[in-house]
Amino acid sequence: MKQIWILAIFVAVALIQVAVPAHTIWRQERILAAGAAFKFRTAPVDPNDAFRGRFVALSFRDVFPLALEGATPEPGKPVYVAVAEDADGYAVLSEAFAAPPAGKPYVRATWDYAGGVTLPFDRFYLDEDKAPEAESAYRKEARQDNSYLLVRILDGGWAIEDLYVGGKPLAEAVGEAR
Amino acid sequence: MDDRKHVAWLYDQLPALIAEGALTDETAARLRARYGPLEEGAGRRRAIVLFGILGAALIGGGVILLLAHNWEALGRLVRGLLALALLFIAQGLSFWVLARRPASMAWREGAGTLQTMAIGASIALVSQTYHTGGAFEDFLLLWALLALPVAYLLRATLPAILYLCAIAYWASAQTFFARFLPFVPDAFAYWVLLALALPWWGLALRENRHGARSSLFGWALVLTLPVGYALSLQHSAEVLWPLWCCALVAVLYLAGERWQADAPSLRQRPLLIAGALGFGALGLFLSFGDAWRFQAFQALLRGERELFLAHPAEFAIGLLWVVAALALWADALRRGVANAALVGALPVVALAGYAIGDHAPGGAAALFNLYLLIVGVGVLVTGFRTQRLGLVNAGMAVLSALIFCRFFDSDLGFVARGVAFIVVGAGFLAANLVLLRKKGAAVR
Repeated sequence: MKQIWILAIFVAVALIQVAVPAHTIWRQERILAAGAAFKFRTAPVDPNDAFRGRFVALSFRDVFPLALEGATPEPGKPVYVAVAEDADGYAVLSEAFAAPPAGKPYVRATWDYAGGVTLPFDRFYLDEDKAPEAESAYRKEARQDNSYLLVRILDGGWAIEDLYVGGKPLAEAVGEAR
Repeated sequence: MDDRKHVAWLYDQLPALIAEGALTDETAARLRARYGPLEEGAGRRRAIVLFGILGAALIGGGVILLLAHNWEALGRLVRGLLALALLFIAQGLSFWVLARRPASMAWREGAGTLQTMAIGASIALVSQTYHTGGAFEDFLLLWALLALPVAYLLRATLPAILYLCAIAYWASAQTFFARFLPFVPDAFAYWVLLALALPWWGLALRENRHGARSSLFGWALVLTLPVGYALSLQHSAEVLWPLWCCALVAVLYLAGERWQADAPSLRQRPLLIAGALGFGALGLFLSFGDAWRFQAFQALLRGERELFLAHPAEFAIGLLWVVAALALWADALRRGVANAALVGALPVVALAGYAIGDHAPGGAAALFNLYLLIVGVGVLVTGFRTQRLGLVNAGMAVLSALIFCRFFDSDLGFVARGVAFIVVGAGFLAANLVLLRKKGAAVR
């Protein structure tokens, strides 16, 4: 093959390689800028499993959709859940659909064996120096009512804004504990 | 390589030999002409390539670790752009290599390795910055798919090997449905992915059939292929695993015997070695009665019909391997290669095992004992006849392993074992005597 063709194909391949992370950045920034904000209340997780490497494994309280449109999905299959706000300002899963619902904020989740859903956001990465203190802060506060994950949702896409522990962003809560 | 070492030793000896009068100057000159000049650069060139790959991998790995620290102070967008910048630098280096140093293997391998690491690092960093999570196997597959073109364009080995490992890991993580490839039936997913990498091997083989790149890919293939093979045949494996495994082992061995037997060293024969080791392990396992307890042929016909209708793609893949094994076996028989003809019969013996096992469960195991005995003796005799010590040892290894297994097989009574051992031992002595006599006749 002529060298000029190899170089041309290389440039095309390089553009695809850049496009994948660049698209993720663009998508997430767009959701963070324009998405509707929801507070998902966190639940305590198995302490041994909470910190795998340098992220907090997330678990949530209200993972049972209030209503289900159509037949019960098979466990492990995707399901689209509409997200609304309750009287206290926290997120609730109002309805579950087989296809993306129109006109409502929703996320794609997985139907689980217990009749609830597994939400797609499952981890929160943080600075490795802060991990040990963050672990104790999360363990202590996850049992309280004022711990939640702030997520922005736009057109079925989602972006994590921050993890709040005891009413403060995790990084701040860890800073105070020092 | 070893040859050159011996030539270097010979050249080292020449001056002394001439001084002692054992060789004339003329003979020494003729020897030099026969073996040619010593290539000083060959070893060094290889070292440069290896150091290039190793250096690039270390730098790439170091950058990944630095990024994994998660520099919160830098802010989201800065970290995202940092990931892209890293990728740009690696791509720029590769572009320069393609444009200015396309002939240098060291540059191509090094730049290809660095770019592969940079691709992985940039996706991982962005995913970490935005907490997008996701399954590890999906990350690995995306990374490998993005890096595969680098393997082709730069003719680099590491991205190709990464790809093989990634698709095997991805396949092993798939349980009920394919997430990334919903458009192909589960059973085909691994083979579709594998097909994308095989032309790379074809190109490497055409360049140098026994070269380091071809061999490395071959080893990565034989180590990862069984994972994808098992996953794509998982539904029918409960009853059919002896046949599926025998087909895979036979194809590996026969293909290795067909195309790699003339390689100068063992490490250049990945298919042959993997096939031979697989044959030993599988054959010995199937020589135990317990292995056949649930493999009766009638049960197969009764129970597998529904399974077959539910997973036709899976059976098509398995049968394709059986057909490939039989075709290679027919080729070995036609060429009259004794050891390949013996080992290649494995799938046929497994089928016979199913048929016998239906009437007498112990019969299938007995058949495999007999088969291994024939293979062991056959390979041993072939080794003696062709004066190949490797074959002699392989035959001895099969026989000793078989004897060892039977000695500790509690299914057989002491009397039966005792008689069998005496018969086999007598056979051994007789064979030895015959061989020695023949050899003696040849010497005389």
